[in-house]
Amino acid sequence: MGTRLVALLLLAACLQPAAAQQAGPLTAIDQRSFSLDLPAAALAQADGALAVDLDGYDLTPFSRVDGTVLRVALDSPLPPGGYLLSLMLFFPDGSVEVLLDTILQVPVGDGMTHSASGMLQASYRVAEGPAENFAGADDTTAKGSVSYQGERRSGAWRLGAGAGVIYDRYSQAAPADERWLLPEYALFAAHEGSVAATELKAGNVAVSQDDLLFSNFQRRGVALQSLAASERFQLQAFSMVSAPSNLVQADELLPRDSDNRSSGLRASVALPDERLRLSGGLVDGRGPLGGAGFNQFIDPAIIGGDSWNVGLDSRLAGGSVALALERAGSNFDVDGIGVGAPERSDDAMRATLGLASGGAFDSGPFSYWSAEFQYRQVGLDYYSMANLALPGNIEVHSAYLQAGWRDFAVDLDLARERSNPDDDPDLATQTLDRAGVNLGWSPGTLDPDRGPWQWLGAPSINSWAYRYESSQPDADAQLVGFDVDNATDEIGLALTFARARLNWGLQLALVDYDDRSDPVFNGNFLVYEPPSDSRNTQASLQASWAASERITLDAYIQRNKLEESALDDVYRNTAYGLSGNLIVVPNRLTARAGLNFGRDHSDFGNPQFLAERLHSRVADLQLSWQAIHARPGRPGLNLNLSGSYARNEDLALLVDDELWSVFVGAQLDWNWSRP
Amino acid sequence: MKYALVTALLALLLLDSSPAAAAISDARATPRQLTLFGTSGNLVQVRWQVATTPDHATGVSSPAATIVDPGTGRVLLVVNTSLDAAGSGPFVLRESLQVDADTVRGWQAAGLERVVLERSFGDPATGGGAVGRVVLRLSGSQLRALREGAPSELLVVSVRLEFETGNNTAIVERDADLRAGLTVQHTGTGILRGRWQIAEPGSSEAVPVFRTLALVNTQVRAGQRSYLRSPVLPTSRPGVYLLRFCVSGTDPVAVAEDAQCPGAGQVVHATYQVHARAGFRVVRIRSLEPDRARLGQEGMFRWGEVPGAATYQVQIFEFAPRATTGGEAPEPRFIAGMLVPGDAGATRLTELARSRLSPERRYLWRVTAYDQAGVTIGTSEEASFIFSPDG
Repeated sequence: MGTRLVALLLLAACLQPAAAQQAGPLTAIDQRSFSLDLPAAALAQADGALAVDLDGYDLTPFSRVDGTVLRVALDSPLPPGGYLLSLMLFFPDGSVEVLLDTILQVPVGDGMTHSASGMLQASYRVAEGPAENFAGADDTTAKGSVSYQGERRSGAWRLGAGAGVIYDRYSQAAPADERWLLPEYALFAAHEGSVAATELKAGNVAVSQDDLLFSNFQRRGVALQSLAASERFQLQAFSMVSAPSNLVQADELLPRDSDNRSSGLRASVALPDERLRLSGGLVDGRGPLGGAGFNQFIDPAIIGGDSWNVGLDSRLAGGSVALALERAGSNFDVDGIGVGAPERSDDAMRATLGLASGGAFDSGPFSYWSAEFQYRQVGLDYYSMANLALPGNIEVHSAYLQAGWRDFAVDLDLARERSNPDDDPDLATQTLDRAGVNLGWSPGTLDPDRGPWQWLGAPSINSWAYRYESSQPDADAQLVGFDVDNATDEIGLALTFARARLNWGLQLALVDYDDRSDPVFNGNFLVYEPPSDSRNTQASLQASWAASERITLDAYIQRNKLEESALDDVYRNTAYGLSGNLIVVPNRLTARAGLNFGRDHSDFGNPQFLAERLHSRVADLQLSWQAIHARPGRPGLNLNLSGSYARNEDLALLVDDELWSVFVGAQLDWNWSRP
Repeated sequence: MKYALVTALLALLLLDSSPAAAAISDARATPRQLTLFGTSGNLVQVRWQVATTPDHATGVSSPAATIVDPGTGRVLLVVNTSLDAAGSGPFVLRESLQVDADTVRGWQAAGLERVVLERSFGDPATGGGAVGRVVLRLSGSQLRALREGAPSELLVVSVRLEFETGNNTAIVERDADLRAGLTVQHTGTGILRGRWQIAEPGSSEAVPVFRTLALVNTQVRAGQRSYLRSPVLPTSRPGVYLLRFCVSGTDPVAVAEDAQCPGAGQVVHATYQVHARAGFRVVRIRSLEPDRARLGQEGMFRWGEVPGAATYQVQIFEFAPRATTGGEAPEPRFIAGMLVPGDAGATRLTELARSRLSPERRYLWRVTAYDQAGVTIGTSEEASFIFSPDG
């Protein structure tokens, strides 16, 4: 779906029009043109230059005066909706007169729109080696996908459908033997009335909320949502599959199984001007841990329970002060329903104060500034099916401040995370203190054609320094079988340089870890052995060069070195590579080649341990001949010749593993849209 | 530094298996600790490093491992899997064993909070040897384990990879901005090590060949949950792409398993397919002027023309420094815009736009090209200028 012209116009409702003639709404002829009678003042002022402003955009070059009528004809369509239209007169002495402010309504046309695209790739392996690495893999493979979106508009009603389907027999993103994948689908009916906009949807449903109850929860299911035209009332009710899914299977399309379903609602109501908004939510569900996108994990347990929250948000002082309070609770069984312990009740709360420039608060010497202070406590047994990764058994105090001044930006980050907020005697209490600063510098007025910048490119610098301290009372060590007492210092520097055709960057980072913990014995067994002090250094360099309109090159190198001082063990990892794209014959023949290398070395202070060396090399080459160009409604055809080679060597264990293959293939690309 | 003390204590503990002249001298396990869950089957993967004196040449043998209660020394389970290697050392041996949920729950019901996996490595010729151990912590569930506290070393419990679709699959148009999000649940803090790898069209067939996009060595800054974004993913060629993130330890993995990826439990996969768009591609508009320069009263904005453009949209924003890594600066405030006919590659600062600029203030600007249907066919990066009406 292409981005429509002036989509950003909607973001630009920030103009403060001067006193002007207020006119009733004006309806455009269509999405490209409108006309209006000029105010008498415009005709009377012969020495003024007329200007046409639409939501902050100067449309004057597209306008002409036809007698007493102003006609505007655009070359690209405006999205349907309302726009602030202003007519202004600019006089030679610099003064400006606003003649007219009105709302331009660009109508929504009834009718139906469709768009679809597809890709089908078939390839035949003409050579490969060694044969055992390809056992069971077909010589001929076909992969492809289809995407469709359609919508019918009729008055205030919209009906729509959309889906994307992938066919891939060998995809590693799905269980073996699954050939069809469904990244997303949607069926919806929506009504945009004068009082509220209401939508009923089946398919990928999202609760776009980030709090104690939800964490941008998106799953397959059904939802009904309604938003008042004034935006003061909002309601969303949903029933979704609990685990993320990507298969074309009936039991994953909709929440049919009670052991894999989460249902709930979210509602909010606001006073005018968003001075106060009350909200609340409820989620009741069961499901497995894991799903599409998770690492493989064998967990047959079904967990679940019900969770709720209530919240209060307030924006004051023109938006410069934001206050949020939230309280949540749950009854949840986390170790498997019907297994282990029964469900437990617990709660959580959060209080946030935000301050920012831009409203009643002046930015002072800064370009902008903001600060956020937060207190958060989440009980050991508080869980929500819509936010399972929420850290719990924790109390957090944090402050985050950021400001920009001329070319500089600075962030300050302070936090204390303390576990066991309920002081449970059976649990250890650990504290993590974090303090950090980020500094950025992006000079806005350096002349890129002078001094070193003509060679390096325009610079941008980012640097950071953090300190972390973790601790645990000594008495807790025997209780839990380990000790915690350490400090970590992190510093880093990132430089990026930009020229018209060359972008490159360098990053350096250093992490020092100092451990002060004590060993812990359980009986005669050493059950906790303090880790070594360590130093980790990382450096990376990357560059992207558009050598010409036909040649692009990318290169990178990353090195990482971890030194553990206790036993003088050293681990080194290096990755570097070069890739390039070449348009051999414009609009016909393209080539791509890449070379990538990896080096993983481990050396031990005790030479009686085996030093390890793993080397990897990967190379790929593809030639693509565009036999038929795709046009709207007519498929395009690409013929490909590709080869890839990988070699992994374990020099210590004398293992040498090779893999290479050569393919010929054809790829059909297809696009269609109407109207 | 407590490490010397620990080493000495270990040596004392291992006195009964002190090395002979040509002998096995030490054994180490990686990782040194793991968590077993009472809700699931547990796959325990251990890499044993066995050190030997230089003249050792008679191999190593470990007929069985035991799981013991550290409090009493009682053997809870015998794992009758033999690990053996011939010839001269040192040796690296790998072990995978399953511990089912019932067994874990049984140990928990007996009041145990941890058990120790222990394996003796002996020299078949001399009988001397060394013992290596892994502490296995017991927890009621994966989620519970994250919250119960853990040693400071970072231990990844769960990894999830997703696109904006909410799962690990996507269909996107060519040249789309695409990144994946990685949610890591962990105990402890420390450096998260891993690598982003991708197989692109031509290498993503039945047996994919992955290349490393980027190494990750990121200090985790908060407890229990961390979020990473992938590098910008390639979308310039239509076709099938496979993406994976491999959590890696400090040790190189066995080539025989999966090059540059550790055990399957620490890898997450995703796939996306890129569709070509008929007609125009979204091109990068270059050669913006002014950039990092002054713009006078009658100044011109210029840019590289885009074939097929029906309209250019020029937008001017208030200048704001870019946010640093740790935060997000507010979106630059829109100041003024101009629509320019598509046959022009330049426009003068119009009076209307000029009226909204302040002298000697710094601004950002960018240009976007649209075709006759209103579809975006070209975009630029942001350039900057200082408005100098008297300059």
